Amino acid sequence: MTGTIIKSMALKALAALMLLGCFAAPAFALDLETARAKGLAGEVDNGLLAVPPGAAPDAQGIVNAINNQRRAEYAKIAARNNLSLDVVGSMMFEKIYTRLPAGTWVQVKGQWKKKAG
Amino acid sequence: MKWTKRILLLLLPGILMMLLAAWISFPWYAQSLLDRALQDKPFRVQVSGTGIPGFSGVGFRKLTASFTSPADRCSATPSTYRLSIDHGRFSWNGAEFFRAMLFPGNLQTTLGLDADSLQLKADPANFLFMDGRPRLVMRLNLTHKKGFRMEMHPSTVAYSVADATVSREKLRLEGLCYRVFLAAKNGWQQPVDTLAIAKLLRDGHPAPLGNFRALFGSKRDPLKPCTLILSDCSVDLFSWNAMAERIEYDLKDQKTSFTLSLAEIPLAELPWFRPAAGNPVTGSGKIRGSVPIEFRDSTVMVRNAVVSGETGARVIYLDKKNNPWFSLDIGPEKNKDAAIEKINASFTLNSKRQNFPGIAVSGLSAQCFGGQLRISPFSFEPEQKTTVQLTVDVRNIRLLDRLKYHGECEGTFGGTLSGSIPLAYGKNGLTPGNIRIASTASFSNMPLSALAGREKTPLASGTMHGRLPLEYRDGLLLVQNGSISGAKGTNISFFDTKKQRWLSFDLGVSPLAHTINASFTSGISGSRPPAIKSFSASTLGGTMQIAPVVFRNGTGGIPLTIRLKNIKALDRVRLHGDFRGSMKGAVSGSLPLLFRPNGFAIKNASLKSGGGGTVSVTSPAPEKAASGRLFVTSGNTADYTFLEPDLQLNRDYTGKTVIDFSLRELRRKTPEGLIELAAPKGKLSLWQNRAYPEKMTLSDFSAGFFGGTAVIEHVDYDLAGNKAETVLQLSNIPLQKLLDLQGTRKIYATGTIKGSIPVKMEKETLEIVDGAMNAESSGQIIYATTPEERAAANQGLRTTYEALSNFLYARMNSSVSMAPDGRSVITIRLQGNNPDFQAGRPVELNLTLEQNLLDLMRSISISSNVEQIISEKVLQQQK
Repeated sequence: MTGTIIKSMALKALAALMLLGCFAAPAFALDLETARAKGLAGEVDNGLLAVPPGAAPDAQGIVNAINNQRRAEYAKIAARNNLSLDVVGSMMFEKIYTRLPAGTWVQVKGQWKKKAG
Repeated sequence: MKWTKRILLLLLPGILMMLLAAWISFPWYAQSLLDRALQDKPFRVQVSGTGIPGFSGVGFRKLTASFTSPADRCSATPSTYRLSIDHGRFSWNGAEFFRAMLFPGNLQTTLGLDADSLQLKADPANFLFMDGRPRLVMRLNLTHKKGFRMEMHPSTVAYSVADATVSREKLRLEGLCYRVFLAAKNGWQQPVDTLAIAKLLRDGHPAPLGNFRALFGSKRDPLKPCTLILSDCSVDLFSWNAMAERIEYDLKDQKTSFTLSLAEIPLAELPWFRPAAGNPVTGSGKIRGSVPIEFRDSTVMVRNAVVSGETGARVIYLDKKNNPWFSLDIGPEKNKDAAIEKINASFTLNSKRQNFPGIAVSGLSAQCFGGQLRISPFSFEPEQKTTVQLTVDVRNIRLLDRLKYHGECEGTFGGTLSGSIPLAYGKNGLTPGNIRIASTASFSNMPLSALAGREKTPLASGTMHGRLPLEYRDGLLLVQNGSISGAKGTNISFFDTKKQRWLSFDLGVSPLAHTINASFTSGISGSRPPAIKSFSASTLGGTMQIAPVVFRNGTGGIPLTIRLKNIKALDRVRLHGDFRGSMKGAVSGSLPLLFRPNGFAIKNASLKSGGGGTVSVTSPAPEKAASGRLFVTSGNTADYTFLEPDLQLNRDYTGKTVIDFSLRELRRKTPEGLIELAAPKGKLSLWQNRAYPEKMTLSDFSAGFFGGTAVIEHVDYDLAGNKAETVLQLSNIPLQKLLDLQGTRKIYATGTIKGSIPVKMEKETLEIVDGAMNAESSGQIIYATTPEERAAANQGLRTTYEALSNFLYARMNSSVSMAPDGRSVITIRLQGNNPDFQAGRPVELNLTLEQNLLDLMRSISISSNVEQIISEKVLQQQK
């Protein structure tokens, strides 16, 4: 029961995040999609973004900005459901992961790899 | 008749004149008188410088006599005795002589002989008897015969020899006393009397033999007609008395045989064992011996002599405090052999060979402590200063079985000695040659304190046993495949300042060390200095080696480097008292030591372990209120877990010690929380100032702490006063990490903080004065609230909630102060904005926390308080 609620909330949050992503994009030279496509940003299994090792730091600004937003959102969900930020973050990662195109950098359990096709 | 009278009157003066002439001319015909009297006698007497006889005697300058006793059944060759008397005088009672001449009958009178000196030389026996101021007294029976003829018959001859000397080549007997008394009625046999000789000298040097006494008479045993017998003999050998019931001298074979009994000689009175300052060897109990001796032709033969100790007799080696250290039992013991028996030797004294006038020793052998001892023939002549060479061969001597160690308990040894010891004795004293000795020495019940030192801390207790196959040859002492074990409970303990044991190192392992192989040069031969050529042993699962080292006297000290590899030393560490825990792991590294008479130094020692362990500290009975204690609340236990210690040690001769340490991890766990230090390292300086040994300095300390780094550049810790003052530098500590530790679920943060916290420690209290903690860069703080919470909150608080729902701070500064009792004030100033709040306008938040920080530190849970403070609207929103 609780799981269903969380899932529905998470989906809503994800929709919001997409919007946030679009909002945030104009402030930076790169948008998230591009940065991820270029391999300058990757998704981490805690639901946040990071610059993969070896990549140019061009996307650091947008990564920080989006992470701040994601954290704020995750915190809200966490507070509402009496969960920790990490739990919410990892649940969000699962959702984000399904939507990621193949070849996007992802970090799972500390290991960076490209999402398989 | 008248004519007769006249003729008589005329003749009388003539007779008187003749008598007068005869009297005056006596010196001229005395010799011929003697010659005539001694015609056909076996001796000759020459007298010279004879005086004119007086009424009571006559003097002479020199009288010599020689007497040759023919070869008989006791003597194959005739012996000649030459007597020489200087400045002598015969004395008599003139009146008695005249009366004997003039009147018939028998009369006894005395003829005396006094002289300045008397010498008697015997040949071929080749001895010389000398007496100063001798006096001989002869009792004579005078018998008047027809006319003036008179017969003289000696009835007794008495000669008291007092302080005479007898010499033969280099030997000389002094202080000879004997009462010669020959009487006709005894058939001129010398009766038994005491013969005393005060001392024996060789080359003018007193020999350790003197005060000889024996009963001697000339009457012989009819069964042994050629044997002179001395009975009830006693002689002082060194300072003790030796007895021989009977000494027989065979005139025919010219040999003496007797058994010398050495009865109950206190060992402590022997010259080597006499208690004296600086003599580390003494003896207790008594020894006795029986030495059958044969003396023939200057050769003393000892056959089957026995020297044995009484029960409890021992030779004792003393330690520096004059307490028994080691002892060698020489008393009889069950199943053990007499100390020394079957001693055989032949000493040729004062040989007639001119090129060799000393002592030649040959055939010297003995059974000694169950084994065999044999000494090669050697000769000794002190005057010629030649080097005496000899070799002592030993076989299976069970010397170690009788050796005991006297410490807090009695240690015993076992094993036999075999080998050869060449010795040279010359002007350089006693120098050993190429000694070869082998023994499989065993020891048991040896107190460990004998090795580690008594009455010292750390204190060693327990006993060791082991087996060391030893071989000494070519100046090398070799240990081959030895092993040493510790008895159960053997350990080295360390004590704190209150003399409470807190740590011990358990050595009760069997075997503690095995495959001990080593070689040392002894330095005895003088050509090479003492050195450790090699040393290796397997111990506690690992190996130990000592690098080769030569012990030379020099200012640099003697270096000794011990290398350890995989020695499971941590497993042997035991904790006591307020300390508990266990450790595991092998230690490897090297320990270079430098020894000087004034102490030791450690140079760049490096000890490393892949193991670790946990030390639990239980706080003792409370001395202070719980609120005042920093590290452990009373009755609680803190577990310190460490991993992979790595130490670099340096110590100088004065004791100044510096330990550079690093660990992979150090954790402190209490029921309330856990503090982890990752890779702590630093430098610990101890005993830098002799006048202030309580000072301990920690410098260059750094450790991973709460995901960041904690650094202490320098802190002096006063162990006596538990005092310290320093600045704790924190950096790169993620704010989130601190919040996580505090268990909060509502506050999230990014960014790191750095801080500079001046800390003052005294006893067990802590004070912080003007500490500062600032964000190292910008970050985010989220105080997550539910819509319900926001709805329930009033306007002010709701605004705060909203502002903190996504607060992006640009700066964060805080100051921390704490009084010794824990009361503290923390002010936090946040500057930034929330892009979702009031169009992201700049916001500054000030937060002040007043609480007992010690309580918080103990529980490490600030979070709930922060939440509470926020809820209580302490948060002030400005602008």
